[in-house]
Formats: sequence, C-alpha cells, structure tokens
Amino acid sequence: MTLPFAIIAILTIAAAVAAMSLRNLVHCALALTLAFAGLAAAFLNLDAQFVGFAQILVYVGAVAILIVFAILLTRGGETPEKSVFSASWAWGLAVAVVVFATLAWAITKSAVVERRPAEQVEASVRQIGDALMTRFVLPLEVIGLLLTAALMGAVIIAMREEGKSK
Amino acid sequence: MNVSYLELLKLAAPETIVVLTALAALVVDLTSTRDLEARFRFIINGMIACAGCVAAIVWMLVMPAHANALEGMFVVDPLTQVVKIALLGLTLFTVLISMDSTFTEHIGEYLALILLAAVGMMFLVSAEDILMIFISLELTSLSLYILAAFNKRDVNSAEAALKYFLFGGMAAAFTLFGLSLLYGLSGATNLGQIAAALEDKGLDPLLIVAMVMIVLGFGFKVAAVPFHLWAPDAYQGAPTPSAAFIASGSKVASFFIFAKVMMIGFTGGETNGVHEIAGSAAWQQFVSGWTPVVAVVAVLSMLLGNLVAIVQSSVKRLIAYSAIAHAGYMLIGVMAHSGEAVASLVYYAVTYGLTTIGAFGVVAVVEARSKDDQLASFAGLSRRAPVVSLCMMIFMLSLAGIPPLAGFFGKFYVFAAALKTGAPNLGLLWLVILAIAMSAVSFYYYLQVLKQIYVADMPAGAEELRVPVLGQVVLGLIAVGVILLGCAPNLLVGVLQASIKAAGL
Amino acid sequence: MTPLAGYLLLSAMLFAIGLAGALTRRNAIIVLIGIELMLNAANLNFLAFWRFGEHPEALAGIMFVIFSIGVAAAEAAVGLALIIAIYRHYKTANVDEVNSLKG
Repeated sequence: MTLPFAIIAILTIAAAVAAMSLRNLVHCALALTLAFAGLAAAFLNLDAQFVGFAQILVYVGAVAILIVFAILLTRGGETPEKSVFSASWAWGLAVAVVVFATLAWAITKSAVVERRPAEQVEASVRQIGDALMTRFVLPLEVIGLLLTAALMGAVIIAMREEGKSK
Repeated sequence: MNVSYLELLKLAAPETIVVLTALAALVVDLTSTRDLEARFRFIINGMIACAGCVAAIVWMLVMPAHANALEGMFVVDPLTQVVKIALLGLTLFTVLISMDSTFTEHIGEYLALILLAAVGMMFLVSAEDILMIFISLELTSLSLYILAAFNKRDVNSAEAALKYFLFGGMAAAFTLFGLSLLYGLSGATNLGQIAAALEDKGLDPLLIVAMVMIVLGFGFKVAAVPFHLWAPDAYQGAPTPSAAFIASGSKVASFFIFAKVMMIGFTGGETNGVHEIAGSAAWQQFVSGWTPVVAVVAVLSMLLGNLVAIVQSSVKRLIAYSAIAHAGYMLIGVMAHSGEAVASLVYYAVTYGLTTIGAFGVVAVVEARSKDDQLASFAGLSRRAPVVSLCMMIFMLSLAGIPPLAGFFGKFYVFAAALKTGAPNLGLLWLVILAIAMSAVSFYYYLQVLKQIYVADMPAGAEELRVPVLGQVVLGLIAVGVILLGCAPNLLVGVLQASIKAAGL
Repeated sequence: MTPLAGYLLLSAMLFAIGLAGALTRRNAIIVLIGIELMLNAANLNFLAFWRFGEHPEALAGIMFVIFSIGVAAAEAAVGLALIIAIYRHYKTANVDEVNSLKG
C-alpha cells in the first residue's frame, strides 16, 4: 500500500463514518462533502482524471449543496434532542457488519486480487467524448430522458400546491 | 467504431415515438389546454398519449426488425417486440383508467411521466448490456417514484412514494454494486460476453456475492419476499392509476429482464444462438446454486403474500399482497429456464398485468365516489354499478385462477413448463404443489371481495354510481381481453413461442 | 501502486458504512446520504476494476461511472423533493414518524 492511498482511505472512511453518525445534520452534510472529495482523490489516484473532476463538480458542487438546502428547508439545522438512531438500530448495524465481513472475505479469497494494473492507461476527454458518441450513444440518450423525468418530477413534487392539504 | 445514427433511430423508432408523444402531451397541456376544465384536459392529452402508444405498436407490427445494435446495448428481436407491444398496451390502459381522476392539476406532466416510464421499460426489455439495464431500470424507477407522489393533497401519497423511493434507492445501490463486481470479474458489460468470460474461470466467491446482490435488486423490483416491504404501502398510498402501472408494466418488464439476465448472464449462453449449459463442474454447481436461493424467495412470497392478504380490509392492500403471491408463482417460471418457461412467464406477466390494471380501474371508480378503498365501500356494488361489478368479478376470478379466464392458463402454462424441465429440477415439483395449494387459499380472499359486491347489503342511502361511459367501456374492454386471452390462449402463446424460436433463446 | 484488494476493501467499507447509516438513522435525509455513499462505493469498484482490467482502452468502467454519477444525482434530486413534500405534511423528516399506512 502506498502512502497517498493510505491517507486517502483513512480520510474517506473517517469522513463517511462521521457523515453517518454525527447528531447535527449540517455537520453530517459537511462530513459527506469531505468523503466525496476523498473519493474523488481516490479516482485521481486510479488515473481517472475526468471522472475525478466530474465527481468533484457533481457531488461536492451540486449534490452536497442540494442536501444542505434540504436540511435547512426541513429545519434540520438544530441538533435534535431525541436519539438520532431508530429503535432497531442494532439490527441495522448487524446487517451492515455482516455485509462487510462477507465482502471482505470474498475479496480476499477471490482470484482478482492477483491482478496487476495495466502499465499505462489513458482516458482522455477526447476518447471519452468519442465513446459517448459511438458505442455509448444510446445510454447517453436514455440518461437525457432520465434527467428530464427527474427534473420535471422534482419540481412537481417539491412545488407548493395551491389547494390546501387535508 | 462507426455508428449509423439513422439506422439506430429506425431501430429505436417505437421508443422515439413514445418520447415525442410524452413531449407533445407536455407542450399541448402547457400551451393550449391549460385554461380548460381538468376533465377535458385529461381527455385531450390522454388521447394524444394513447395515439402515441398506438402509433408505436403499429410501427412494430408493420416494420418487424431483428438486430443487435451497439454490442448488445439495444437488441431487437421478435420476442422483445411482443413484450414491448404488451407493455405499450398496458400503458395505454393505464392512461385510459387515469382519465377520470381528479388528484392532480399537472396533467401534462403526469401523462409525460407515464410515457417516460414506459420508454424506460421498453429500453429495459431490449437491453443485453448491464450498463443499459441499469440506466433504463433507473429511468423506470425514478418515473414511478414521482408518479406515486403525484397526489399532492394526500399525505398517504407522499408517504407511499418516500417508502418506495428509500427501498428502491437501496435496491439500486445493491444492484449497482453487484454489477460492478460482475464487470470486474468478467471485464465486459455485455451479458453474453460476461457469461463467456466467466465460464472457464470456475467459481469465484465474489461472483456469488455479485449474484446475490443482483437477485436482491430484482427481487425488490418484482416485490418478492423479503424485499416486498414497500409494496403494500406504495400500492395503497399512491394514486390508483400510478399503483396500477407500478403493479403491471413495471412487473412485466422486470420479470422479463430478470429471466433474461438469469438465462444469458448466468447460464453461460450465447447472445444470439442456441445456448447450452456447458463448462466446468464448478460452473454447473454454481448454476444449480442460484436455483435454491430463488426457490426460497418464491416459497416465502407465496406463503406470506397469500396469508397476509386474507386479513386486509383495504382492497388496494389486498391486491398488493396478492401481487407478492403472484410474484412467487412467476419466480417458478424464472427458475425453469427453458424457452417454453420464458413464453409462459411472459404470458403470465402480461395477463396478470392486464387483470391488475382492470382491478385497479374498478377500485378507482369506487374510490372516486366513496373516498376510500375499504372493503366495506364495495358493499352492494352490484346493484349500484352492475357493469363495473361484472368486470370486477372477471378480474378477481382470473387472479384466483379460475378457468376459462386468462389467470388460469397463465398458472397452468408456468406450472407445466416448470414440470417439463425434468430431472435436475425435481424440487420444482414441490414448488408447483405448494403454488397450487396456495392458489386455493387465494380463492378465499378474492371471494371476500366478490361477496361484498354481490351479497352484502347496500349501505343505507347509497344511490346508483354514475360511472362515465368511457370508464365503463375501458373496463369492459379489459374484461373482454382477459376472457379472450383465457379462452384462446394461443393468440398470445402462439406468437410468443414463434418469436422465442425466432429469437433463438 | 496499491494492489487491487486495497481499493476493493475501501469500497466494501464505504458500502457497509453507507448501509449502516441507511438502516439505523431516523432522518430521511441521512438515509439518502447513506444510499449515495453506497452508490459511490460501487463507482470506486468500477474504476478500480477498469484500472486493473485487461482492456482499459475499452473505457467501459469509466463510462459506467460517468452514467452512474448522473443517475445518482437525479436520484438525490427526486429524493430530496420527496423529503420536502413529506416535511410539508408531517412537519418532520424522520422516517419512523411517517407511518400512517399500516396493515
């Protein structure tokens, strides 16, 4: 394991744990931003520059801001008095631990860990653009439809209706 | 790599037509019909949506195609065409039963989202690439979450949508993680290439994890136990036409792709050609390894769905639990992976979807007048709305599996196909026996609904239900369809078998 | 370079943390954050497998991540809109207090 990766991994995991366990929701959102940034660093570490920067733009730039907006709109800004965990939290934690244990076991037993990285990889913006317009042109169209549907739906759902709620 | 966009457009013309229709309905509603009364708006834009569906169906009937574009991203063959036509038919009926509803003022958006969800299902049916499967699955799911939340005045609608969304999001995360492992192990995204790459590598523990995660994701989509928790709440709380679409279209598409992934991705077949389960002993062991997992899910779904449905007092919830049970029956078809099983599965899913839309249509009619969907609201319906009651009787009996209705032949074909697969799946015999026993149980609660309609006294002061002519015609059409497909199952089965042969599965 | 197992274990850890948060927290926004973390963990898998794969020039892993970032963003937008709608009705974003549908 190299030093940069170790730093990235520790930072990301610590930030993720903080995002999932802090009491104040705004702090959670900030920790989440840090976790996303750590992941972006891991992507860069894997020589995937374009995706790394896209991750920063989309997650750190857009999703995190959206989450902070939602927290403030639902008055989650103040620290809750009661427990922030649900009554059956022990079960949830147990499931997560089991999932991690299974995954870790499968990874260490798997043949894929023997793999060596390719000497030199290149994923330039030009290549990605070419691929998007050739082999991946159909997924690109479908994701356009998906974003249209999400945009339309999010506006409708979040909009205040004239007729009063019952 | 050169791509002919024109060829691609021609191949995806039905999808394109539906997308354009969605945009047309949106634009017409926003520009010209906005000031009209809600009823007329719904009829005008609904007709546009229906015209689009019909146009896409006609296109597929007139221009048969057989092609594999972009290395499996978009595969068109006679089988996918049949399934797409069926999906568009279900979409059409969903639009028709929603025309009478008053829950939303955003009519253009509502219809556009129904059509976009339908487009997602169509792409899903044609996908043989895990990237395309994931994206079109998400297009469908996101549209359906939004459709479930469309009744802004009703608390239950928002709650239903939130639960559907949170469970769905979690399932999507599991699916994506499973797909990432599958990509990692095989280095490919095409189902056929994945199977080919994995075939000679033996059994990797990560592969098992990947498979369990993907089954979990699909289990959520088809609402099988233990991933069913969202279904009763979503069906009950969502606006009735949305619930009908979630229960029918989404189910048909999900089951089809589930069977396809299981058959191509995991049994080591080829994308286009007769497939043979070949490979190492470990592989054989693995293939027979997933069958018990699915079997357990099927048994639990049949037991829980049928037993819990008995105690329900809300009709939509009752249909939801019965839907879980039906998912269990259909999983038997998934397990019996043979060409005939796929034909029977598609037949079952399509007729089930049609019947469910009809049942939800009747619920919508009752709900519009009595404001809830409790069993008691159906009391004496036969004297208040005879035509609608007759339709409901046909739907309930078909769901229960009474001959000569479509539901009976659906069950019959699935069970027969399961039994025919023979020795390696001897366990299927027990499943079929359990399924038949459970169908008998289901008869009880379907009869409960009919008892309310036909035997129970009318509540005092109840008068005749005024059902719009259009609504009666639509429900009548669906009922005729259910009878017709039951009496002459070859109409659909013949086409399915021929197209499966042509598709080379 | 760090071996593949390092990246995979990091992603498994993130997936489990996200899952734990989604299953144990009461606030729907945090549940959504947990789901986003799980999706991100899958993205890390794709990139790691792409980097260590036999055909990195095929770009499939990169493409999958680009699309899944888009999907996850759309999902977050819809989810937060739903949470705001819920808050308008219930004056809370806690999932265990949103329970009028039962049976």
